[in-house]
Amino acid sequence: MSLLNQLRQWRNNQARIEGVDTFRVLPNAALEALTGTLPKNKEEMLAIKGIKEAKYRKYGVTLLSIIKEHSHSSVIPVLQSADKHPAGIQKEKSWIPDQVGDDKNNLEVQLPNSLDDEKKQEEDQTLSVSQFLDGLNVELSGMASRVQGEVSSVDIRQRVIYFTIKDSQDESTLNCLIFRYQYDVSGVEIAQGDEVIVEGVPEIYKPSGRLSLKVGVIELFGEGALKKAYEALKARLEQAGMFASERKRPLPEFPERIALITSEQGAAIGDFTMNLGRQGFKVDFYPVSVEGKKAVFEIIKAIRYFDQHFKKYDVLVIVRGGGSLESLQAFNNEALVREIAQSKIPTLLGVGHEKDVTLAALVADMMVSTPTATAKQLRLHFDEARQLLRHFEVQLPTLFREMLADVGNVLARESEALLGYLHDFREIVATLRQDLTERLFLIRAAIEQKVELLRQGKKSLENGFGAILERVTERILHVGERLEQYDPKQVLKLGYSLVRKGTRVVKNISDMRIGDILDIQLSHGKMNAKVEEIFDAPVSS
Amino acid sequence: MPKVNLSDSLKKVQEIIHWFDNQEEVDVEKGLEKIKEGTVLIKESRTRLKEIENEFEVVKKELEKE
Repeated sequence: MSLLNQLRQWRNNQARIEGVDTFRVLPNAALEALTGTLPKNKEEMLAIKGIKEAKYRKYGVTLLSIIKEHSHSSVIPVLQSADKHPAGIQKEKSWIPDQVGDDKNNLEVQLPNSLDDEKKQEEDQTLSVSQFLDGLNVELSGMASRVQGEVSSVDIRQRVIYFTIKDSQDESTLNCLIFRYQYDVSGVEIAQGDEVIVEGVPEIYKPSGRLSLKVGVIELFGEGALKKAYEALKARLEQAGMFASERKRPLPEFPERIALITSEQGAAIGDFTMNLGRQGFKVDFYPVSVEGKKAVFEIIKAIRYFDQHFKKYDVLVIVRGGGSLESLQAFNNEALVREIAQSKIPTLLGVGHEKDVTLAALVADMMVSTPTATAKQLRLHFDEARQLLRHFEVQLPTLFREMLADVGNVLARESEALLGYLHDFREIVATLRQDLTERLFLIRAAIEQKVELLRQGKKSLENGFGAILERVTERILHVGERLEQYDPKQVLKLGYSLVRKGTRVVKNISDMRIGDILDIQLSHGKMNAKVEEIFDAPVSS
Repeated sequence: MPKVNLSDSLKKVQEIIHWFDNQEEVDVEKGLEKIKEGTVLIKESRTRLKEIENEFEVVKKELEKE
């Protein structure tokens, strides 16, 4: 096998493993350049257009090893080689894309002599059937095609689905096969009579020599078929509880890290970013195809990438502008729907649609109808929060002022009550005072009355006493007069004498003794007399 | 400054407002504390809600470089 075919075979296998287009592994021009320059080390390989550091890190060692192996084997006669190419090797060049046409000429100029020899030798080869078919298969591997036709038979087996499609014009038939995984990812259940578009690489199955298209993707063609498939899958997923509200996770109120999956092209990305506003979002954008054969694979890959870093993200957003059922096929794909359902990050889908909501949107944690609505949904709580804060900024001081006003009212009420009490107290005091005044007045009146009484009493007393005194005085005077009358002096003046014996007045003759010396007092003067005789007879008056 | 949790902050402010709405006995001291707390929360939330440009990064290109 020529080095170019060997490299091409390796490239095609690698693309299949990675699930990407062959040119993403290495473009034809790079393969041509590799066979032309036969690099022996990193520097020489990096000099080739289309191979940079990243590609070298990924494929460099393998490529150098293939080239090295081929260089060694090229010294062995080609006839003994296990891989032989058909005599028509020159035709292989006609399948090289036009854009490398110029390089092709250069390549032939630059081909080392050994390769020229090899080519001549190959032209002279007689190949075995197996070698011939191997060669054909290598060439066919570069003929990936997209073919439309009607399914005329289907044979579904455990690992592979065999089917044929026929041309509606001339009944031409093409055998097809698809591996179970790819069939499942395609999300289509084909049946006889379905109009489909298949995409794949032709290959001859050596035991039967039968050419089949190894299909990678099947798409239903026509609105009716799509609608039927859509309804069937929707019913099945619904029955499996995939759309149940219990499955839905709430989206964070204030998402910050957004994992975004959409196309770099088209209006969706613009509508989305324009309507996000300035919220300080950190958006990690994974560009994908959102329509056509690659969309499902790329979107699934993107979801898986974000899932690997799920802790970094608050929400996984997938957006796409509106479209027909056909253009939105990727979003009605079962594999993609299940991938979204399994995402570790809460999902928000904004996929436009004309009539039927896509199944991907139905399975998402939240769906809105457009990329613009998606952006608005993400910023919704930020806008609400701003509004709420404006409201709080007014309400909070107002509430406090109201509280203070309440305090004021309470104080006013309490002071009013106090004033009431004070008023009552004053009234009581006034009443008491009046009462007291009245009582005092009464007391005073009573006192005055008593004083009056006393005065009167005094007066009476004084009057009585005066009278008494007068009477007493009068009596005294009278007594005095009488005393004067009884005054011995007065009596003496009348001629009577007062006889004393010693100190005692002699009243009775019996007290007399003869010889007694008597003191006789006269009105004027005294005299002593001696009793000489006693006469015991009353004195006649 | 620690990262503001807007949901929590707004919830707390709402609780403060609820507290004011449901006060039966007026407690000015407590009210003043709540006002201070609410003001801080509002200020922090305002800072977080300042309009800041979004950051965009294309991750796939990063992947391709790897």
